[in-house]
Amino acid sequence: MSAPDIVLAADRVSVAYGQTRVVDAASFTVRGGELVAIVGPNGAGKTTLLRALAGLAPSSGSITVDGAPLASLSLGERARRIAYLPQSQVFHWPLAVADIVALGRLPRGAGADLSEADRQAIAVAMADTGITQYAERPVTTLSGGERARVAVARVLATEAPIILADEPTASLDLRYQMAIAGMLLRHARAFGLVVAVLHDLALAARIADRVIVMQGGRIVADGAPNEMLSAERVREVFGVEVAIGEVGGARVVVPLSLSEGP
Amino acid sequence: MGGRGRDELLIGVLAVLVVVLFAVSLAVGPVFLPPATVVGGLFGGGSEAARIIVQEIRLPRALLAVMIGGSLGLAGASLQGLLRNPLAAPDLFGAPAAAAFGAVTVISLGLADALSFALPVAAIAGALISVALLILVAGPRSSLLVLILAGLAVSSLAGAGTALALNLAPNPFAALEIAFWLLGSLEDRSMRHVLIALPFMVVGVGLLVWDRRAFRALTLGEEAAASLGFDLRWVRLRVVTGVAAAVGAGVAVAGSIGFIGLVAPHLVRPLVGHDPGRVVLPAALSGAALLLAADIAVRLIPAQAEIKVGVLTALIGAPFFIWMILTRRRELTGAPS
Repeated sequence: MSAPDIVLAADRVSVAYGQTRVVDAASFTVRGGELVAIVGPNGAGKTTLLRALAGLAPSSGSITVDGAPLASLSLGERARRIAYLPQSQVFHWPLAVADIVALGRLPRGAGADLSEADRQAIAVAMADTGITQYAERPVTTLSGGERARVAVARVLATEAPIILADEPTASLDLRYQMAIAGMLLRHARAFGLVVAVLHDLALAARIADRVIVMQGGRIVADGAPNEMLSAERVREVFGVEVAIGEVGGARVVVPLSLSEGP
Repeated sequence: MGGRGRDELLIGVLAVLVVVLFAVSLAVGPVFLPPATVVGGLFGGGSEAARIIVQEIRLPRALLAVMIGGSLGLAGASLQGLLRNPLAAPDLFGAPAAAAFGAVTVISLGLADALSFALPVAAIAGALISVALLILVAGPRSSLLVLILAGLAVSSLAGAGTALALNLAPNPFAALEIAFWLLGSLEDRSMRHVLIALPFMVVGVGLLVWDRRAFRALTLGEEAAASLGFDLRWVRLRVVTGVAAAVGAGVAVAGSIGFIGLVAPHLVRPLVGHDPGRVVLPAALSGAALLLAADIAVRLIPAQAEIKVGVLTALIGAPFFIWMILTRRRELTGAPS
Protein backbone atom coordinates (compact mmCIF):
# COMPACT_ATOMS: atom_id res chain seq x y z
CA MET A 1 0.00 0.00 0.00
CA SER A 2 1.44 3.35 -0.97
CA ALA A 3 1.41 6.16 1.57
CA PRO A 4 -1.49 8.62 1.35
CA ASP A 5 -0.57 11.63 -0.71
CA ILE A 6 -0.76 14.55 1.71
CA VAL A 7 1.72 16.87 3.43
CA LEU A 8 1.21 19.14 6.45
CA ALA A 9 4.03 21.62 6.90
CA ALA A 10 4.72 24.24 9.55
CA ASP A 11 7.42 26.85 8.96
CA ARG A 12 8.50 29.12 11.86
CA VAL A 13 4.99 29.05 13.36
CA SER A 14 4.63 31.31 16.38
CA VAL A 15 1.63 32.00 18.60
CA ALA A 16 1.65 34.90 21.04
CA TYR A 17 -0.88 35.80 23.71
CA GLY A 18 -0.14 39.44 24.48
CA GLN A 19 3.59 39.64 25.20
CA THR A 20 3.97 35.92 25.87
CA ARG A 21 5.15 33.70 23.04
CA VAL A 22 3.42 30.41 23.73
CA VAL A 23 4.76 28.78 20.56
CA ASP A 24 8.06 30.06 19.24
CA ALA A 25 9.13 29.45 15.63
CA ALA A 26 8.04 25.82 15.34
CA SER A 27 9.00 24.17 12.05
CA PHE A 28 8.34 20.60 10.94
CA THR A 29 6.77 18.58 8.16
CA VAL A 30 4.44 15.61 8.46
CA ARG A 31 3.90 13.39 5.43
CA GLY A 32 1.08 11.08 4.45
CA GLY A 33 1.14 7.77 6.34
CA GLU A 34 2.92 9.22 9.39
CA LEU A 35 1.75 9.39 12.98
CA VAL A 36 3.69 12.09 14.82
CA ALA A 37 3.50 12.51 18.58
CA ILE A 38 4.11 15.84 20.31
CA VAL A 39 5.40 15.41 23.86
CA GLY A 40 6.63 17.82 26.50
CA PRO A 41 5.88 19.10 29.99
CA ASN A 42 2.72 21.00 30.89
CA GLY A 43 2.77 24.52 29.49
CA ALA A 44 5.26 23.67 26.73
CA GLY A 45 2.83 24.94 24.07
CA LYS A 46 1.76 21.55 22.67
CA THR A 47 -1.98 22.25 22.66
CA THR A 48 -1.48 25.76 21.31
CA LEU A 49 0.66 24.43 18.46
CA LEU A 50 -2.02 21.86 17.65
CA ARG A 51 -4.72 24.57 17.71
CA ALA A 52 -2.63 26.72 15.37
CA LEU A 53 -2.28 23.77 12.96
CA ALA A 54 -6.09 23.40 13.07
CA GLY A 55 -6.51 27.10 12.30
CA LEU A 56 -8.07 27.73 15.72
CA ALA A 57 -5.33 29.94 17.14
CA PRO A 58 -4.04 32.97 15.23
CA SER A 59 -0.39 32.33 14.34
CA SER A 60 2.45 33.91 12.42
CA GLY A 61 4.74 31.99 10.10
CA SER A 62 3.30 29.58 7.56
CA ILE A 63 1.18 26.45 7.80
CA THR A 64 0.48 24.64 4.54
CA VAL A 65 -1.59 21.63 3.52
CA ASP A 66 -0.25 20.14 0.29
CA GLY A 67 1.53 23.43 -0.34
CA ALA A 68 -1.63 25.54 0.06
CA PRO A 69 -1.52 28.02 2.95
CA LEU A 70 -4.04 27.10 5.65
CA ALA A 71 -5.38 30.66 5.59
CA SER A 72 -6.22 30.36 1.88
CA LEU A 73 -8.63 27.48 2.50
CA SER A 74 -12.28 28.26 3.10
CA LEU A 75 -13.53 27.21 6.54
CA GLY A 76 -15.51 24.37 5.00
CA GLU A 77 -12.55 23.15 2.95
CA ARG A 78 -10.32 23.32 6.03
CA ALA A 79 -12.86 21.29 8.02
CA ARG A 80 -13.00 18.63 5.28
CA ARG A 81 -9.19 18.27 5.34
CA ILE A 82 -8.40 18.69 9.03
CA ALA A 83 -10.32 17.09 11.89
CA TYR A 84 -9.54 18.37 15.38
CA LEU A 85 -10.10 16.44 18.59
CA PRO A 86 -10.02 18.80 21.58
CA GLN A 87 -8.52 17.84 24.90
CA SER A 88 -11.73 17.83 26.91
CA GLN A 89 -14.78 16.07 25.56
CA VAL A 90 -17.77 18.24 26.36
CA PHE A 91 -21.29 17.46 25.22
CA HIS A 92 -23.64 20.29 26.06
CA TRP A 93 -26.89 18.58 25.05
CA PRO A 94 -28.00 15.00 25.75
CA LEU A 95 -28.00 14.00 22.07
CA ALA A 96 -28.04 10.32 21.12
CA VAL A 97 -24.53 8.95 20.51
CA ALA A 98 -25.27 8.38 16.80
CA ASP A 99 -26.34 12.03 16.48
CA ILE A 100 -23.09 13.20 18.09
CA VAL A 101 -21.03 11.10 15.67
CA ALA A 102 -23.17 12.52 12.83
CA LEU A 103 -21.92 16.01 13.74
CA GLY A 104 -18.64 14.95 12.14
CA ARG A 105 -20.50 14.98 8.82
CA LEU A 106 -21.42 18.70 9.07
CA PRO A 107 -18.44 19.80 6.94
CA ARG A 108 -19.71 17.47 4.22
CA GLY A 109 -23.05 19.21 4.13
CA ALA A 110 -25.05 16.81 6.29
CA GLY A 111 -28.04 18.40 7.99
CA ALA A 112 -30.76 16.62 9.89
CA ASP A 113 -30.96 14.42 6.78
CA LEU A 114 -28.11 12.01 6.15
CA SER A 115 -26.92 10.66 2.81
CA GLU A 116 -25.95 7.02 2.31
CA ALA A 117 -22.26 8.07 2.46
CA ASP A 118 -22.94 9.85 5.76
CA ARG A 119 -24.63 6.81 7.27
CA GLN A 120 -21.81 4.56 6.08
CA ALA A 121 -19.09 6.79 7.58
CA ILE A 122 -20.98 7.07 10.88
CA ALA A 123 -21.53 3.31 11.10
CA VAL A 124 -17.86 2.55 10.37
CA ALA A 125 -16.64 5.14 12.89
CA MET A 126 -18.93 3.76 15.60
CA ALA A 127 -17.94 0.18 14.88
CA ASP A 128 -14.21 1.06 14.90
CA THR A 129 -14.49 2.74 18.29
CA GLY A 130 -16.73 0.04 19.74
CA ILE A 131 -19.68 2.29 20.54
CA THR A 132 -22.29 0.86 18.17
CA GLN A 133 -24.26 -0.59 21.08
CA TYR A 134 -24.66 2.90 22.58
CA ALA A 135 -26.00 4.44 19.33
CA GLU A 136 -29.38 5.43 20.76
CA ARG A 137 -28.20 6.32 24.31
CA PRO A 138 -27.96 9.99 25.35
CA VAL A 139 -24.25 10.79 25.30
CA THR A 140 -24.47 12.44 28.72
CA THR A 141 -25.30 9.08 30.33
CA LEU A 142 -21.99 7.49 29.22
CA SER A 143 -18.85 7.09 31.34
CA GLY A 144 -15.76 9.22 30.73
CA GLY A 145 -14.03 6.51 28.72
CA GLU A 146 -17.11 5.88 26.59
CA ARG A 147 -17.47 9.60 25.91
CA ALA A 148 -13.84 9.78 24.80
CA ARG A 149 -14.52 7.04 22.27
CA VAL A 150 -17.61 8.91 21.02
CA ALA A 151 -15.44 11.99 20.50
CA VAL A 152 -12.91 9.94 18.52
CA ALA A 153 -15.72 8.41 16.45
CA ARG A 154 -17.00 11.92 15.65
CA VAL A 155 -13.53 12.84 14.36
CA LEU A 156 -13.19 9.63 12.31
CA ALA A 157 -16.65 10.17 10.77
CA THR A 158 -15.41 13.46 9.31
CA GLU A 159 -13.21 11.41 6.94
CA ALA A 160 -10.67 14.22 6.93
CA PRO A 161 -7.20 12.99 5.89
CA ILE A 162 -5.49 14.99 8.66
CA ILE A 163 -6.37 14.28 12.27
CA LEU A 164 -5.04 16.56 15.01
CA ALA A 165 -5.70 14.92 18.36
CA ASP A 166 -5.06 16.48 21.75
CA GLU A 167 -4.48 13.66 24.23
CA PRO A 168 -6.81 11.20 22.52
CA THR A 169 -6.08 8.46 25.05
CA ALA A 170 -6.41 10.46 28.26
CA SER A 171 -9.17 9.06 30.53
CA LEU A 172 -9.21 5.74 28.69
CA ASP A 173 -8.44 2.39 30.24
CA LEU A 174 -5.54 0.35 28.88
CA ARG A 175 -7.64 -1.64 26.42
CA TYR A 176 -9.16 1.42 24.78
CA GLN A 177 -5.89 3.37 24.94
CA MET A 178 -4.44 0.74 22.67
CA ALA A 179 -7.60 0.50 20.58
CA ILE A 180 -7.74 4.26 19.95
CA ALA A 181 -3.99 4.43 19.34
CA GLY A 182 -4.27 1.56 16.87
CA MET A 183 -7.16 3.31 15.16
CA LEU A 184 -5.19 6.54 14.74
CA LEU A 185 -2.24 4.57 13.39
CA ARG A 186 -4.49 2.77 10.89
CA HIS A 187 -5.96 6.10 9.84
CA ALA A 188 -2.48 7.52 9.23
CA ARG A 189 -1.36 4.49 7.24
CA ALA A 190 -4.44 4.24 5.05
CA PHE A 191 -6.02 7.68 4.81
CA GLY A 192 -3.69 10.53 5.71
CA LEU A 193 -1.67 11.62 8.70
CA VAL A 194 -2.08 12.10 12.43
CA VAL A 195 -0.48 14.58 14.82
CA ALA A 196 -1.27 13.73 18.43
CA VAL A 197 -0.29 15.40 21.68
CA LEU A 198 0.54 12.55 24.06
CA HIS A 199 1.49 12.55 27.73
CA ASP A 200 2.29 8.87 27.92
CA LEU A 201 5.89 8.66 26.69
CA ALA A 202 5.83 4.87 26.40
CA LEU A 203 2.69 5.05 24.27
CA ALA A 204 4.33 7.73 22.13
CA ALA A 205 7.35 5.49 21.68
CA ARG A 206 5.11 2.54 20.90
CA ILE A 207 2.92 4.06 18.18
CA ALA A 208 4.59 7.17 16.77
CA ASP A 209 6.75 7.22 13.67
CA ARG A 210 8.31 10.40 14.97
CA VAL A 211 8.31 12.28 18.24
CA ILE A 212 8.46 16.06 18.49
CA VAL A 213 9.68 17.24 21.90
CA MET A 214 8.55 20.71 23.02
CA GLN A 215 9.82 22.80 25.90
CA GLY A 216 9.02 26.44 26.67
CA GLY A 217 7.21 26.95 23.36
CA ARG A 218 10.10 25.66 21.25
CA ILE A 219 10.65 22.40 19.46
CA VAL A 220 13.81 21.09 21.12
CA ALA A 221 14.00 17.78 19.31
CA ASP A 222 12.32 15.99 16.44
CA GLY A 223 13.18 12.46 15.40
CA ALA A 224 12.66 8.73 15.74
CA PRO A 225 11.06 7.73 19.08
CA ASN A 226 14.05 5.68 20.23
CA GLU A 227 16.42 8.63 19.75
CA MET A 228 14.04 11.17 21.27
CA LEU A 229 13.07 9.26 24.38
CA SER A 230 16.42 8.75 26.08
CA ALA A 231 16.87 8.99 29.84
CA GLU A 232 19.04 12.11 29.35
CA ARG A 233 16.43 13.86 27.21
CA VAL A 234 13.58 13.10 29.62
CA ARG A 235 15.65 14.39 32.57
CA GLU A 236 16.51 17.53 30.60
CA VAL A 237 12.95 18.29 29.43
CA PHE A 238 10.75 16.98 32.22
CA GLY A 239 13.21 17.19 35.14
CA VAL A 240 12.49 13.60 36.12
CA GLU A 241 14.90 10.67 36.43
CA VAL A 242 13.64 7.73 34.42
CA ALA A 243 14.79 4.27 33.52
CA ILE A 244 14.22 3.31 29.93
CA GLY A 245 14.28 -0.25 28.78
CA GLU A 246 12.73 -2.67 26.40
CA VAL A 247 10.18 -5.34 27.14
CA GLY A 248 9.16 -7.63 24.33
CA GLY A 249 10.39 -5.17 21.73
CA ALA A 250 8.39 -2.26 23.18
CA ARG A 251 10.05 0.69 24.87
CA VAL A 252 9.10 1.31 28.50
CA VAL A 253 9.63 4.53 30.45
CA VAL A 254 9.66 4.18 34.24
CA PRO A 255 9.97 7.28 36.44
CA LEU A 256 12.49 6.77 39.27
CA SER A 257 12.64 9.99 41.30
CA LEU A 258 9.59 10.70 43.42
CA SER A 259 9.82 14.38 44.24
CA GLU A 260 8.78 15.43 47.74
CA GLY A 261 6.97 18.51 46.51
CA PRO A 262 7.92 21.51 44.44
CA MET B 1 -30.42 9.92 13.39
CA GLY B 2 -32.67 10.58 10.41
CA GLY B 3 -35.10 12.61 12.50
CA ARG B 4 -36.17 14.79 9.60
CA GLY B 5 -39.38 12.91 8.83
CA ARG B 6 -40.45 13.06 12.46
CA ASP B 7 -39.55 16.78 12.59
CA GLU B 8 -41.84 17.46 9.65
CA LEU B 9 -44.66 15.66 11.45
CA LEU B 10 -44.00 17.67 14.63
CA ILE B 11 -43.86 20.95 12.70
CA GLY B 12 -47.09 20.00 10.91
CA VAL B 13 -48.91 19.21 14.17
CA LEU B 14 -47.70 22.44 15.78
CA ALA B 15 -48.71 24.45 12.71
CA VAL B 16 -52.23 22.99 12.87
CA LEU B 17 -52.35 23.88 16.58
CA VAL B 18 -51.35 27.47 15.80
CA VAL B 19 -54.03 27.72 13.08
CA VAL B 20 -56.71 26.36 15.44
CA LEU B 21 -55.70 28.75 18.24
CA PHE B 22 -55.59 31.60 15.73
CA ALA B 23 -59.21 30.82 14.75
CA VAL B 24 -60.25 30.61 18.42
CA SER B 25 -58.54 33.94 19.06
CA LEU B 26 -60.64 35.54 16.31
CA ALA B 27 -63.80 34.07 17.86
CA VAL B 28 -63.18 35.18 21.47
CA GLY B 29 -64.01 38.62 22.85
CA PRO B 30 -66.47 40.65 24.90
CA VAL B 31 -68.94 40.56 22.01
CA PHE B 32 -70.04 37.04 21.16
CA LEU B 33 -69.98 36.32 17.45
CA PRO B 34 -71.04 32.95 16.02
CA PRO B 35 -68.34 31.21 13.93
CA ALA B 36 -70.11 31.93 10.63
CA THR B 37 -70.22 35.67 11.46
CA VAL B 38 -66.51 35.62 12.35
CA VAL B 39 -65.64 34.03 9.01
CA GLY B 40 -67.91 36.48 7.21
CA GLY B 41 -66.40 39.46 9.03
CA LEU B 42 -62.88 38.28 8.33
CA PHE B 43 -63.45 38.20 4.59
CA GLY B 44 -65.38 41.45 4.48
CA GLY B 45 -68.88 39.96 4.34
CA GLY B 46 -71.61 40.18 6.96
CA SER B 47 -72.49 43.25 9.00
CA GLU B 48 -70.26 46.33 9.29
CA ALA B 49 -69.96 45.76 13.06
CA ALA B 50 -68.77 42.18 12.61
CA ARG B 51 -66.29 43.28 9.98
CA ILE B 52 -64.81 45.98 12.26
CA ILE B 53 -64.66 43.67 15.30
CA VAL B 54 -62.96 40.82 13.45
CA GLN B 55 -60.74 42.71 10.98
CA GLU B 56 -59.72 45.72 13.04
CA ILE B 57 -59.81 44.50 16.65
CA ARG B 58 -59.30 40.75 16.76
CA LEU B 59 -57.20 40.08 13.65
CA PRO B 60 -54.29 42.40 14.62
CA ARG B 61 -54.33 40.89 18.09
CA ALA B 62 -54.11 37.32 16.77
CA LEU B 63 -51.47 38.25 14.21
CA LEU B 64 -49.33 39.95 16.85
CA ALA B 65 -49.67 36.92 19.14
CA VAL B 66 -48.33 34.67 16.36
CA MET B 67 -45.55 37.09 15.40
CA ILE B 68 -44.41 37.93 18.93
CA GLY B 69 -44.85 34.43 20.36
CA GLY B 70 -43.05 32.95 17.37
CA SER B 71 -40.20 35.45 17.64
CA LEU B 72 -39.82 34.79 21.36
CA GLY B 73 -39.73 31.01 20.87
CA LEU B 74 -37.23 31.38 18.03
CA ALA B 75 -35.07 33.85 19.97
CA GLY B 76 -35.09 31.63 23.06
CA ALA B 77 -34.11 28.51 21.11
CA SER B 78 -31.36 30.41 19.27
CA LEU B 79 -29.86 31.94 22.41
CA GLN B 80 -29.98 28.53 24.08
CA GLY B 81 -28.21 27.02 21.08
CA LEU B 82 -25.56 29.73 21.03
CA LEU B 83 -24.94 29.65 24.78
CA ARG B 84 -25.43 25.85 24.97
CA ASN B 85 -27.74 26.21 27.91
CA PRO B 86 -31.47 25.52 28.20
CA LEU B 87 -31.89 28.27 30.83
CA ALA B 88 -30.82 31.03 28.47
CA ALA B 89 -33.74 33.21 27.43
CA PRO B 90 -34.07 36.69 26.03
CA ASP B 91 -35.94 37.93 29.12
CA LEU B 92 -33.34 36.58 31.54
CA PHE B 93 -30.58 38.60 29.97
CA GLY B 94 -32.13 42.02 29.77
CA ALA B 95 -32.95 42.41 26.06
CA PRO B 96 -36.67 43.07 26.61
CA ALA B 97 -35.93 45.31 29.61
CA ALA B 98 -33.52 47.32 27.48
CA ALA B 99 -36.02 47.46 24.61
CA ALA B 100 -38.64 48.75 27.04
CA PHE B 101 -36.15 51.34 28.30
CA GLY B 102 -35.52 52.51 24.74
CA ALA B 103 -39.24 52.76 23.97
CA VAL B 104 -40.18 54.41 27.27
CA THR B 105 -37.43 56.98 26.86
CA VAL B 106 -38.81 57.98 23.48
CA ILE B 107 -42.36 58.24 24.89
CA SER B 108 -41.44 60.16 28.02
CA LEU B 109 -39.21 62.60 26.19
CA GLY B 110 -42.24 63.34 24.07
CA LEU B 111 -40.31 62.42 20.94
CA ALA B 112 -42.98 60.08 19.72
CA ASP B 113 -46.40 58.71 20.51
CA ALA B 114 -46.91 55.00 20.93
CA LEU B 115 -47.66 54.53 17.25
CA SER B 116 -44.63 56.22 15.75
CA PHE B 117 -41.89 54.43 13.84
CA ALA B 118 -39.30 55.93 16.21
CA LEU B 119 -40.61 53.74 19.02
CA PRO B 120 -39.66 50.33 17.59
CA VAL B 121 -36.34 51.75 16.39
CA ALA B 122 -35.54 52.93 19.92
CA ALA B 123 -36.74 49.61 21.39
CA ILE B 124 -34.62 47.58 18.98
CA ALA B 125 -31.57 49.77 19.56
CA GLY B 126 -32.05 49.21 23.30
CA ALA B 127 -32.26 45.44 22.86
CA LEU B 128 -29.23 45.36 20.56
CA ILE B 129 -27.09 47.34 22.96
CA SER B 130 -28.15 45.14 25.87
CA VAL B 131 -27.17 41.86 24.19
CA ALA B 132 -23.87 43.32 22.99
CA LEU B 133 -23.24 44.61 26.52
CA LEU B 134 -24.06 41.17 27.91
CA ILE B 135 -21.53 39.40 25.70
CA LEU B 136 -18.98 42.15 26.39
CA VAL B 137 -19.40 41.93 30.16
CA ALA B 138 -19.62 38.15 30.39
CA GLY B 139 -16.94 37.39 27.80
CA PRO B 140 -17.18 34.91 24.94
CA ARG B 141 -16.44 31.78 26.97
CA SER B 142 -18.22 32.70 30.14
CA SER B 143 -19.66 30.27 32.62
CA LEU B 144 -23.38 30.19 33.22
CA LEU B 145 -22.92 31.98 36.53
CA VAL B 146 -21.06 34.91 35.00
CA LEU B 147 -23.62 35.09 32.22
CA ILE B 148 -26.53 35.23 34.64
CA LEU B 149 -24.82 37.85 36.79
CA ALA B 150 -24.01 39.94 33.73
CA GLY B 151 -27.62 39.55 32.54
CA LEU B 152 -28.87 40.65 35.94
CA ALA B 153 -26.62 43.69 35.80
CA VAL B 154 -27.78 44.64 32.29
CA SER B 155 -31.42 44.08 33.29
CA SER B 156 -31.00 46.21 36.40
CA LEU B 157 -29.40 48.99 34.42
CA ALA B 158 -32.24 48.98 31.89
CA GLY B 159 -34.76 48.81 34.74
CA ALA B 160 -33.13 51.79 36.41
CA GLY B 161 -33.32 53.71 33.13
CA THR B 162 -37.01 52.86 32.77
CA ALA B 163 -37.64 53.96 36.36
CA LEU B 164 -35.89 57.25 35.62
CA ALA B 165 -38.03 57.76 32.52
CA LEU B 166 -41.16 57.12 34.61
CA ASN B 167 -39.84 59.45 37.28
CA LEU B 168 -39.31 62.22 34.75
CA ALA B 169 -42.61 61.60 32.93
CA PRO B 170 -44.19 64.93 31.98
CA ASN B 171 -47.53 64.17 33.70
CA PRO B 172 -49.25 61.42 35.73
CA PHE B 173 -51.25 60.24 32.74
CA ALA B 174 -48.11 59.66 30.73
CA ALA B 175 -46.61 57.78 33.68
CA LEU B 176 -49.69 55.59 34.00
CA GLU B 177 -49.70 54.95 30.25
CA ILE B 178 -46.06 53.90 30.39
CA ALA B 179 -46.64 51.67 33.42
CA PHE B 180 -49.56 49.87 31.78
CA TRP B 181 -47.73 49.60 28.50
CA LEU B 182 -44.81 47.94 30.31
CA LEU B 183 -47.04 45.15 31.59
CA GLY B 184 -47.23 43.69 28.11
CA SER B 185 -50.53 43.40 26.28
CA LEU B 186 -52.00 42.73 22.86
CA GLU B 187 -55.23 44.59 23.68
CA ASP B 188 -56.36 47.37 21.35
CA ARG B 189 -53.57 46.93 18.84
CA SER B 190 -54.19 47.80 15.21
CA MET B 191 -52.87 46.63 11.86
CA ARG B 192 -50.51 49.60 12.10
CA HIS B 193 -48.75 47.89 15.01
CA VAL B 194 -48.49 44.74 12.93
CA LEU B 195 -46.91 46.70 10.09
CA ILE B 196 -44.48 48.53 12.40
CA ALA B 197 -43.19 45.28 13.93
CA LEU B 198 -43.23 43.16 10.78
CA PRO B 199 -40.09 44.38 8.93
CA PHE B 200 -37.90 44.11 12.03
CA MET B 201 -39.27 40.67 12.82
CA VAL B 202 -38.70 39.48 9.26
CA VAL B 203 -35.06 40.57 9.52
CA GLY B 204 -34.70 39.06 13.00
CA VAL B 205 -36.29 35.75 12.04
CA GLY B 206 -34.22 35.62 8.84
CA LEU B 207 -31.05 35.97 10.90
CA LEU B 208 -32.12 33.43 13.53
CA VAL B 209 -33.05 30.55 11.22
CA TRP B 210 -29.59 30.82 9.62
CA ASP B 211 -27.39 29.15 12.23
CA ARG B 212 -29.18 25.93 13.09
CA ARG B 213 -26.25 23.82 11.86
CA ALA B 214 -23.85 25.90 13.95
CA PHE B 215 -26.01 25.31 17.05
CA ARG B 216 -25.71 21.56 16.45
CA ALA B 217 -21.94 21.83 16.08
CA LEU B 218 -21.77 23.91 19.28
CA THR B 219 -22.99 20.82 21.16
CA LEU B 220 -19.29 19.85 21.06
CA GLY B 221 -18.09 23.20 22.43
CA GLU B 222 -16.69 26.23 20.64
CA GLU B 223 -13.30 24.75 19.66
CA ALA B 224 -14.79 21.68 18.00
CA ALA B 225 -17.54 23.76 16.35
CA ALA B 226 -14.90 26.10 14.89
CA SER B 227 -12.92 23.08 13.65
CA LEU B 228 -16.07 21.87 11.85
CA GLY B 229 -15.94 25.00 9.71
CA PHE B 230 -18.18 27.49 11.55
CA ASP B 231 -17.07 31.09 12.02
CA LEU B 232 -18.43 31.66 15.51
CA ARG B 233 -17.84 35.42 15.52
CA TRP B 234 -20.41 35.73 12.73
CA VAL B 235 -22.75 33.24 14.36
CA ARG B 236 -22.67 35.30 17.57
CA LEU B 237 -23.24 38.54 15.69
CA ARG B 238 -26.18 37.11 13.72
CA VAL B 239 -27.87 35.68 16.81
CA VAL B 240 -27.36 38.83 18.89
CA THR B 241 -28.70 41.04 16.09
CA GLY B 242 -31.54 38.65 15.27
CA VAL B 243 -32.69 38.38 18.90
CA ALA B 244 -32.53 42.16 19.32
CA ALA B 245 -34.52 42.84 16.15
CA ALA B 246 -37.18 40.16 16.68
CA VAL B 247 -37.62 40.62 20.45
CA GLY B 248 -37.16 44.39 20.34
CA ALA B 249 -39.89 44.75 17.71
CA GLY B 250 -42.24 42.68 19.86
CA VAL B 251 -41.56 44.78 22.95
CA ALA B 252 -42.00 47.92 20.87
CA VAL B 253 -45.62 47.12 20.00
CA ALA B 254 -46.74 44.98 22.95
CA GLY B 255 -44.52 45.78 25.95
CA SER B 256 -42.65 43.04 27.82
CA ILE B 257 -44.08 39.55 27.52
CA GLY B 258 -41.87 37.26 29.55
CA PHE B 259 -40.90 33.59 29.71
CA ILE B 260 -42.28 32.46 26.33
CA GLY B 261 -38.69 32.33 25.06
CA LEU B 262 -37.71 30.06 27.94
CA VAL B 263 -40.73 27.76 28.01
CA ALA B 264 -41.46 27.29 24.28
CA PRO B 265 -38.17 25.54 23.34
CA HIS B 266 -38.26 23.49 26.53
CA LEU B 267 -41.65 21.98 25.66
CA VAL B 268 -40.56 20.70 22.24
CA ARG B 269 -36.90 19.85 22.94
CA PRO B 270 -37.49 16.21 23.98
CA LEU B 271 -39.47 15.72 20.74
CA VAL B 272 -36.43 16.52 18.58
CA GLY B 273 -33.91 14.43 20.51
CA HIS B 274 -32.60 17.54 22.34
CA ASP B 275 -30.99 18.68 19.09
CA PRO B 276 -30.31 22.44 19.43
CA GLY B 277 -30.64 22.95 15.67
CA ARG B 278 -33.77 20.89 15.07
CA VAL B 279 -35.52 22.57 18.02
CA VAL B 280 -35.47 26.04 16.45
CA LEU B 281 -38.51 25.87 14.13
CA PRO B 282 -40.74 23.83 16.48
CA ALA B 283 -39.84 26.29 19.28
CA ALA B 284 -41.06 29.20 17.14
CA LEU B 285 -44.40 27.44 16.52
CA SER B 286 -44.70 26.43 20.15
CA GLY B 287 -44.07 30.06 21.17
CA ALA B 288 -46.78 31.27 18.81
CA ALA B 289 -49.22 28.69 20.19
CA LEU B 290 -48.36 29.61 23.81
CA LEU B 291 -48.89 33.34 23.32
CA LEU B 292 -52.12 32.78 21.36
CA ALA B 293 -53.37 30.54 24.18
CA ALA B 294 -52.35 33.04 26.86
CA ASP B 295 -54.00 35.89 24.98
CA ILE B 296 -57.20 33.84 24.63
CA ALA B 297 -57.04 33.01 28.35
CA VAL B 298 -56.83 36.65 29.48
CA ARG B 299 -60.05 37.33 27.57
CA LEU B 300 -61.83 34.37 29.18
CA ILE B 301 -60.64 34.88 32.77
CA PRO B 302 -63.40 36.81 34.55
CA ALA B 303 -61.85 39.92 36.09
CA GLN B 304 -62.81 43.55 36.57
CA ALA B 305 -60.12 44.72 34.19
CA GLU B 306 -58.63 42.41 31.56
CA ILE B 307 -55.46 40.81 32.92
CA LYS B 308 -52.50 41.86 30.77
CA VAL B 309 -51.06 38.91 28.85
CA GLY B 310 -47.53 39.80 30.03
CA VAL B 311 -48.73 39.44 33.61
CA LEU B 312 -50.23 36.01 32.86
CA THR B 313 -47.13 34.65 31.08
CA ALA B 314 -44.98 35.83 34.00
CA LEU B 315 -47.35 34.27 36.54
CA ILE B 316 -47.13 30.92 34.75
CA GLY B 317 -43.58 31.24 33.43
CA ALA B 318 -41.81 32.16 36.66
CA PRO B 319 -42.95 29.05 38.59
CA PHE B 320 -42.06 27.01 35.50
CA PHE B 321 -38.57 28.51 35.59
CA ILE B 322 -38.28 27.62 39.28
CA TRP B 323 -39.30 24.07 38.43
CA MET B 324 -36.68 23.91 35.65
CA ILE B 325 -33.97 25.02 38.06
CA LEU B 326 -35.11 22.44 40.62
CA THR B 327 -34.95 19.60 38.10
CA ARG B 328 -31.53 20.69 36.84
CA ARG B 329 -30.12 21.69 40.20
CA ARG B 330 -27.63 18.86 40.42
CA GLU B 331 -25.88 19.62 37.13
CA LEU B 332 -26.12 23.38 37.71
CA THR B 333 -24.30 23.27 41.03
CA GLY B 334 -22.13 20.22 40.42
CA ALA B 335 -20.53 20.30 37.01
CA PRO B 336 -18.44 23.22 35.80
CA SER B 337 -20.18 24.82 32.85
